[in-house]
Amino acid sequence: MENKHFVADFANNLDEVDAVTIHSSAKSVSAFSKTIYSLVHNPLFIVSSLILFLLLIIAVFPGLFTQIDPTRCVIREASLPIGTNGEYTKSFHLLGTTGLGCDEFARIIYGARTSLLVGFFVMVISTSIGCVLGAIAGYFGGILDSIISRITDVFFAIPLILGAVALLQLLKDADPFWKVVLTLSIFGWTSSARLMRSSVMETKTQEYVTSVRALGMEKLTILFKHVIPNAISPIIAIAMISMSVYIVADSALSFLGVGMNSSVVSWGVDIANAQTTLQSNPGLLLYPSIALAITALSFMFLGDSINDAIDPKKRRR
Amino acid sequence: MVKYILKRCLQALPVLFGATFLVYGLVFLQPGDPIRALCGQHCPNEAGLDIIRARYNLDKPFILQYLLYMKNLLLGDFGTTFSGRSVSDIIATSMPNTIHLGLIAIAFEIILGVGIGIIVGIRRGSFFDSSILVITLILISIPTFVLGFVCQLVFGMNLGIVPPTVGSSTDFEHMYMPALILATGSIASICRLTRNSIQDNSYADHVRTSYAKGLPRYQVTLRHIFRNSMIPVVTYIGADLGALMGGAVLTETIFNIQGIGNQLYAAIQRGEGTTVVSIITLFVIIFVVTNIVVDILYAVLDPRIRYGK
Amino acid sequence: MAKKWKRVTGVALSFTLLTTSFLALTACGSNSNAGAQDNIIRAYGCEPKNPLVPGNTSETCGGNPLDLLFEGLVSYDGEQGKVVNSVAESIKTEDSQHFKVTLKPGMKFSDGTAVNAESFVDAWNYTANTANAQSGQSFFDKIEGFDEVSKKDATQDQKLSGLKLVDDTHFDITLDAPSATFVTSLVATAYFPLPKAFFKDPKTFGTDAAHTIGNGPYKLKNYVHDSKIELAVNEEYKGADKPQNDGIEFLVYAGSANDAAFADIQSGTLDALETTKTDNYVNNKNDSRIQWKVEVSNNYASISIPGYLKHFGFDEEGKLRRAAISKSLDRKAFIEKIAKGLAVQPTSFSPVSKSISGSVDKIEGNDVLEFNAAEAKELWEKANKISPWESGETFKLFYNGDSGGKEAFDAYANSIKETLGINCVSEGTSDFKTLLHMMADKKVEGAYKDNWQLDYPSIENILQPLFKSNADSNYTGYESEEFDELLNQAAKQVDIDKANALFTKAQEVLIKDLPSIPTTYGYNKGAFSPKVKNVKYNWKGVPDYLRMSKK
Repeated sequence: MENKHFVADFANNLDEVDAVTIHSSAKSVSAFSKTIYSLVHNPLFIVSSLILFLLLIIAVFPGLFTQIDPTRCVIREASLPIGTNGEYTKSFHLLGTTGLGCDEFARIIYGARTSLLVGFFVMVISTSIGCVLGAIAGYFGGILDSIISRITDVFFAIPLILGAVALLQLLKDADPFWKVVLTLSIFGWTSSARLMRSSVMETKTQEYVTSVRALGMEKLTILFKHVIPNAISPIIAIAMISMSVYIVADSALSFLGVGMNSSVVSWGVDIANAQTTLQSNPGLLLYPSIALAITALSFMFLGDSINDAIDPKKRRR
Repeated sequence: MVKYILKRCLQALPVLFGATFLVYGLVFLQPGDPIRALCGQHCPNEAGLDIIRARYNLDKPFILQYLLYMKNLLLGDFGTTFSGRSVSDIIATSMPNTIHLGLIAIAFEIILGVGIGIIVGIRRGSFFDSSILVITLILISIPTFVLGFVCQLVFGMNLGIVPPTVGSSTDFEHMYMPALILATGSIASICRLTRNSIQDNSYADHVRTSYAKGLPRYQVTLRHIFRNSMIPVVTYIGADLGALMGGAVLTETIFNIQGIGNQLYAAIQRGEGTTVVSIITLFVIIFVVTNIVVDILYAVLDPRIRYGK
Repeated sequence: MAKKWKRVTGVALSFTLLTTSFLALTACGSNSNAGAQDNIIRAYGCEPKNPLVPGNTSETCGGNPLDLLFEGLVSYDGEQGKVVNSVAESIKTEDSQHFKVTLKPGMKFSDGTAVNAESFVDAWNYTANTANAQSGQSFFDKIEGFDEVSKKDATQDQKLSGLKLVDDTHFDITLDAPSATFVTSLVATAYFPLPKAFFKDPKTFGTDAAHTIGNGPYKLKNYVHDSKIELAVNEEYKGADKPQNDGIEFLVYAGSANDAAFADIQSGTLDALETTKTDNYVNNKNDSRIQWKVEVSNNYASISIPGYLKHFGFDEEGKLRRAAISKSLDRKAFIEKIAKGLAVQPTSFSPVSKSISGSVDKIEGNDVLEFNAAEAKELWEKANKISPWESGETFKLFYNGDSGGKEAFDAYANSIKETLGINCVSEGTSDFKTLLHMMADKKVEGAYKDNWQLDYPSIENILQPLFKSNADSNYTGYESEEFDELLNQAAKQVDIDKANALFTKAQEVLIKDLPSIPTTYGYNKGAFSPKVKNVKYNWKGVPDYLRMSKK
């Protein structure tokens, strides 16, 4: 997955650039309001938020957008062109029907929920694992750091897709949705762990941390009260971007035949299914791909603009 | 420096054992009997199957299987596949194809990614800059296999301007389209990375100082901005090498390239522990070596970083 | 500073030089397949799962080359629909239990050694013996003495008592029980002879050109794993099947790279592709770069419903439900809309073909194979009166996800759901291995895809292994005394036509119980280069490469 490393790129970017240039982002009271100001003045942020808000509504209330059941597929109405009335089902097919006779528009509407949920859950789980492990490694250092770093390396050395294939084969009987979420989380947490580790290492040397330590505050309290809240901001941006990565990865797993099965309405499944009719009905590949790309794009824009906003060096100059 | 490299190699050992153990376990625990699957519609009887299982140590408990395998591996014996081929033979035939594909992909990444990144980095804020920004993001958000299929269909089959598949002819003419598709995501990422990095560095204090000293613009750009900006890019490309090996499985399937990603994918599906672990071992070695090389490159690029003092 | 800068430029420069020189190097690489007109057929191939040993190959990747590298006692003429002698001069029997085989004299392996009676007897003894763990073992289960050599602790020197070497060109076969189709079954790959060289070193045999010695019209010229299997004309071959070309090159495609192979047909690098996706056919029907050859394949395709499944025991309820499921499959719409006309409505338990001895287009009771929504519902309701189908229950259709059954099984599931109004989903297992394991362990929680590729061209090869009580591949657990008795009767016949009549009767028993529901029988959708002449399929549905020519 090339996309996996898009996350890494930001990680490394922040990590390395900050290591080289002299870090001068003194935390001030107004940092938060500056961030918000910077965000609302960024058109990319506004556009992507609007799109994501719309997607959220679609995902929560798909019934508002279509009356057709996406799982009702009638062979007799297979492969209908755009904008035809089905004679048997008596329903209007805005984007035509799939090769199996399901309404394409309804599948895209209902598929939004699955894609967003996959992205969301994987993001939450993998970022949490990554944050905790990364913070522990970065803060305590020493043997703990070595162990966690080696574990991270182990998972990093196994290519995401191939590790996922092996694990999904094992989980074949599990719930199709959760097995994909679990698999992507297990192989996806490494980049956020690495990023968190370097971010924490940097934060803990800051003056305010050293000063509370001098005041005799307990180690764990410092970690949770002072270090993590300050070190986590770059992670938030990466987490947003990584959602797009997971949404795309989900479709790749479906393509390889190990992801979700046809009992789940999902863009990934539909994209994978469209391969068989790529020549005669390219639309079936195109529509869900476009929906997927727009969603992924919105998350990236969102992450990008948050990234710019929280990094004082990149704020509009 | 030698001490540093040795230390890194020692650190790699637990990673090697961890990764192989994990993968061996994943393959071992897979449901289904790989030996029965091997014979498809016809099988020897159960007693015969037992003979084959014993041949591949499959009759032994998991830990013993793993240790027996690792013992042979450390003695330089990669084992044989269920079809009786030696795994080292499989690696020897498929690895060059993947390396070939990967190198062309990385060449594209460097030429296109870094090249465009530098241009937009210097001309930031321009129309060109923002359009590249959007294009790169779009490229990242399209799944590789969709791009692969569409390009194969349009350029390979309908227009006929590039060979649609690779097969056994692995020359540049056949390889460049798959490589370009494999590299697309990375090109876009590198492009953005280079751009951001150049932007950051153009505001760095030492750069401002250089301007203040009255150094000509091109010298500042080359000597101070460009050089420092390459650090994250080098890291990225280093990390990408390993990802290209594994990530190639999609590209390799679409364009029929007999590469290592494909072999690994097939071996996982066959439940063939020996092959899977051998290839993963190789990945781990590549991963470790590239990491060391990247670290050394840091020292070259940034005089402040020194190892093994 | 300047010094360090030089170092950086040095590194950068060498890096760029490296990549550009690399690019230049690869750009001037060999341009293979530059198209001089030769008479070599380049055919789609895949990597064999085992070394090229006839007795240990049960899949087409190795089977297709093997069928050209070896020749058995008999072969099957698909056009005339009958068995013809190949290496055998004659095979005589009076009771379908004792056979006297006479070989043609002077036949040779590609290394010059003679093909004699020993080549067959030794090869068969080797394959049948458990100690050698060959996948073709079960082919010999009808021969007397098989029980001994297939015992768990059988030793390598044990031999089938039913095989008797008479002299160089004669040997006798005795079976445990009569079998009318035994001679027909001898066309299978597992019965090919093996040279002396094999027994000297069975381990390396079939792994490369030097260690692969056959008696067929071709010999192995070059075997590059994962890349190609090259066959050249075998000069030592003295049989009747003279190749019409100068060689065959199987180009190996990875996984299910059917699209890649199809693209190669269009670009002219591949001459023969035995089957393509429906979509490729529909959209490129009139492409002048492709010579299409479509005809009904000889594979049996079905959904099997195991008897251990709740509601689907082999009793009255199960019978009603099976019939209801069969009648709720909208096969006509499937053929028209999804198979795009490239499939046929089943009328019996096999496609109707000259290549399947005993196949018939009419059996009594075959109306159950026609879509009828009203009757389907009625039957389902009747069954509900015996034991109701709860609203929370789901009928699952399993298929192996690695072989393109997805579309069809999604469609069948939708059709059942739409017709019967029950919850029905299709579920793909990651691969055939997984499904097979579930089938063998009787753990499939639903119906499953059950396709069968014939080993020898007789209807018996569908009825016997899939449906006879306790047969090898009878994973549904179906048992019927009446059916078994008809098969036993048929086996005793000497006259093939009489045997076939009994097989038809057996089918009529089977269709009442429907342990397995025929779905639709597909087509071979082969794509060939227009340069290739004389494109035909053999009885296995594999292109007859031997008779193809580019001249």
